[in-house]
Amino acid sequence: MTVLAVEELAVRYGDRLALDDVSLAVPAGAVYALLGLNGAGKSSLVRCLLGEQRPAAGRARIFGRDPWKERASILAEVGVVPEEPDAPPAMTARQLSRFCASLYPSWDEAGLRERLERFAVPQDLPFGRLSKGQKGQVMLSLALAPSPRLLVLDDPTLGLDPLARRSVFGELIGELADRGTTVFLTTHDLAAVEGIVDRVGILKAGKLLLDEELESLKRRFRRLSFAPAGEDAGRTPGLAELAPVAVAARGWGVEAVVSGYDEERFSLLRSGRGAGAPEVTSLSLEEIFLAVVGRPGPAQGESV
Amino acid sequence: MTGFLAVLKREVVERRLLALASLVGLFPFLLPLLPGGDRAHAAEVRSVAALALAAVVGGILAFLLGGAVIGRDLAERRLGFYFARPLAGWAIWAGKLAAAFLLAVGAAALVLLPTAVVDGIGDGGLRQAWMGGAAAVLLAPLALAVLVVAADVVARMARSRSPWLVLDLAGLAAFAALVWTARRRLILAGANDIFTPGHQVPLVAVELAVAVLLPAAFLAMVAASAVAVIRARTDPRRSHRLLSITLWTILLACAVAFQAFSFWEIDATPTDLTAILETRAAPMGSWIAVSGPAAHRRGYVPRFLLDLGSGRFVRTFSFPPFPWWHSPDFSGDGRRAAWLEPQGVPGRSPFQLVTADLSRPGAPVAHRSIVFDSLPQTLVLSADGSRFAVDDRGRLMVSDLESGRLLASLPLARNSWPAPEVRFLGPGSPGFLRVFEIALREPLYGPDRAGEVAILDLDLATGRRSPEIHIPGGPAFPTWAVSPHGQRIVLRQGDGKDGPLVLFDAATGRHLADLTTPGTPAYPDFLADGRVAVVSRQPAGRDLTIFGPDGQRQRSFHFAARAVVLGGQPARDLLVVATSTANAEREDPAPWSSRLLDLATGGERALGSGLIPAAGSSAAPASAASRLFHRAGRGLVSLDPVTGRETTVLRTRG
Repeated sequence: MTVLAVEELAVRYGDRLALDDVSLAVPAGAVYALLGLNGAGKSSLVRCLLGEQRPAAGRARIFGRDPWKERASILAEVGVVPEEPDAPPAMTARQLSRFCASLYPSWDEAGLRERLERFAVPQDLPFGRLSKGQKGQVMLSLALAPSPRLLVLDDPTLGLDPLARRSVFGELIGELADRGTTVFLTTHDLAAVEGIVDRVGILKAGKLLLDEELESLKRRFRRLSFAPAGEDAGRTPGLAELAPVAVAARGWGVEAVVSGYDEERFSLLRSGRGAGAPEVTSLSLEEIFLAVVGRPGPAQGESV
Repeated sequence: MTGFLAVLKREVVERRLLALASLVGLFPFLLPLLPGGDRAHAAEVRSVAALALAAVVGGILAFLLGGAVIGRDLAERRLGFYFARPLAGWAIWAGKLAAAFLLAVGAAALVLLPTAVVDGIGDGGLRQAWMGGAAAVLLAPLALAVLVVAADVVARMARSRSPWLVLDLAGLAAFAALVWTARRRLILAGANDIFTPGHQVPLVAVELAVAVLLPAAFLAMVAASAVAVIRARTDPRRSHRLLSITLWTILLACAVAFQAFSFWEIDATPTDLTAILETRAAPMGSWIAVSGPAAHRRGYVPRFLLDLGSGRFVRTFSFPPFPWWHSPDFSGDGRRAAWLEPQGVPGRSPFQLVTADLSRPGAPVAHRSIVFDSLPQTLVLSADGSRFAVDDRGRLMVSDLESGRLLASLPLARNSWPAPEVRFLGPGSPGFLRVFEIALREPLYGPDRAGEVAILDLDLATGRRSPEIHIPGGPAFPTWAVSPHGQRIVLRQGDGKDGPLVLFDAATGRHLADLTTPGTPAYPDFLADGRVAVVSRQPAGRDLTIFGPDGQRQRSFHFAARAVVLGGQPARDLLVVATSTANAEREDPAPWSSRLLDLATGGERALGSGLIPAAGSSAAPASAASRLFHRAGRGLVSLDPVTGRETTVLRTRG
């Protein structure tokens, strides 16, 4: 069952196209990470999903419903952690909890308190006087308290120190383990999410370059290192079949990141080089992301 | 509703420290104790101070909170906190603004509380300083609500710092310009008063329109504020765009509607009149001046010059408070009419002389370069319309109309009321002017009032004045009448308010005759042919006595009526009169019956009921105006006294 979907979504700010023909879907129980550089359109997509932004074209769906039209009822089952903690600065965590509790059909007050205690967040200090990490922790606690079917996190660890980042993702992992909540998140913290995401989307300049299971992604993205054979590195026989996204000459030889790795194609490359067979290494999510967004933008209709 | 209440409660609780504003409410108790404080009226001082402080505290809070509750959250990107919850957009908007309103009203109430507790809210307490009564009790919170919404709109515009601010300024300028020009158009046309018979609500058209515009402006701000939150949600720029589009669309639509209303209001034609308040006929020709309320145009009593022959009309200025003031004056030959129009807002602008050439097709109107700083009481055209006389700030001035050249000027030293009577002597382009001034002696009011008439002639060629002639008047003075050509004057004399009427020669001051009548003479009038008509009161009715030009009694008529109105002379020796058995208003013909008197034989013939002569006794004998009547339920009719044939010349819509 698809919990969240966008179809041919476009968002425009005046003349600028912030999102262009983006389509993706997140099944129930999945953790989807939407990656992209600043200004790629991640927050615009999140705003569409939360019914804060009306798409210029296409549509967004949560639980099969239109968040622009049915925002309030949809959000009763959605926990949201914004990019910037935006709770009223004069309210304490306790007051925030009381206020939010009156809005949701269910509210796990005890769970929220326990979580805040675990984070060591003072519950009677005004939100505006908390540290940035504590604010993020309060926002995450508030998002989890209604036991939502879907969590939407818009770069929840932006600007947090490593300790706070770890606590946020630790809590997220706990939630996933306990309840199997569907999660849609945008983040720059690729290393932290690599262990929990099921599917990844990469946005660049408003276009979705990639939308794929993380496992599949990691299977097809590889780094190849091999000694130079005198010829132009880019024209190494068999390399083109592996869909190189980056090829660089190093002092010791050639390093290529390929997006179409499989054993059969690789064997062609290897057989052509004999004793100088390339060395193959796996890539982290961050390396894949950099390889994808680091190359010039794709032509119309091209995907990576 | 839960969401609305949750937001409302949150906003109120967050600002609960504003309750400290109530401490300001203790300040009025210190006032009487201060040096110089009025301890004798301590309660009154406290009440006034408490109300003033409540207004100040409420107003300031309404402005500050209205500008902050949404605008600041939006600018600081905190509104997303609410939009990320299961809260309807309207609940967020309404909850926040309602909180601002309640906090402002609550703080004002808290300021009043100590005074209310100590002095009460009755006549001895707050009520004595509360001038507006129950309406003001409702109006004060409404004013705070307007302030809250206005502050919200302005703050969100200012905080967004988007290019739409330029549109806002342009919209504001366009709105102000449209409203100002429409309002000015109405005021300049005199369409700003309905304090006239038949209208009971003392509202003026302009204020009526403004009374519609102001609520519309408030509702536009409410709608714009709501739409911007509900539709634009957390995007400040989009919010500003929607706010501006909604606000200015509604406001400019209202302003355009006001413009259209102003054009429609003053575009009334004679056929729109529902009643005729005033008719004045040219001594000769077929033109009349007519005014009355226009259908569906509350507050506008237009006045027209109307050609009874062709139906052509010219719209003239109608003075707002009393539309029968300053009716256009016609030249004796009926070929020219002149009137005064303000150059700007009536009462604050000079008055300009305007003429219409009634002898030319279309009766072209000319705004003359003759301007008066204040409104003259008298405007008189000569027989040929080439000269005119006005009394301007204590001076009687005679000018040539074409050139504007001042021919003569004469100080009017006496009281300004009643206005002097002025007659150009002789036909054509006359060289003399006769001025009849009443000088009252103290006391000016009451039964002992007395005075004299001063008469002088002015030679327009040399500017020389003749010696003044003084004719003393009696206590009920000034009951008087001046003959159409200024040759004679009738004055009430003797003791008591019912003293005899005496006819004098205006050129010499010579006593001509006592106009003795049966019963008590009520008022005199000159007929167009120079005879004098006097209506007198009898216990059993009213008598009309006709005197010759030299005062010899000619004939008497008795009417079993309580009111008599003289009409014109449709033919020589024929006189129209209308009678009513009640003290009826002349504007309503229904209670009146008209009859034709034969002054030669003493015979009389009924012309019909529901009929009253329209033009009065000054219409030239046998002129079209002399046959003009107000017919109940129909309007103006022309009645041929010989055949009895009646033609409707202006049908009213009443």
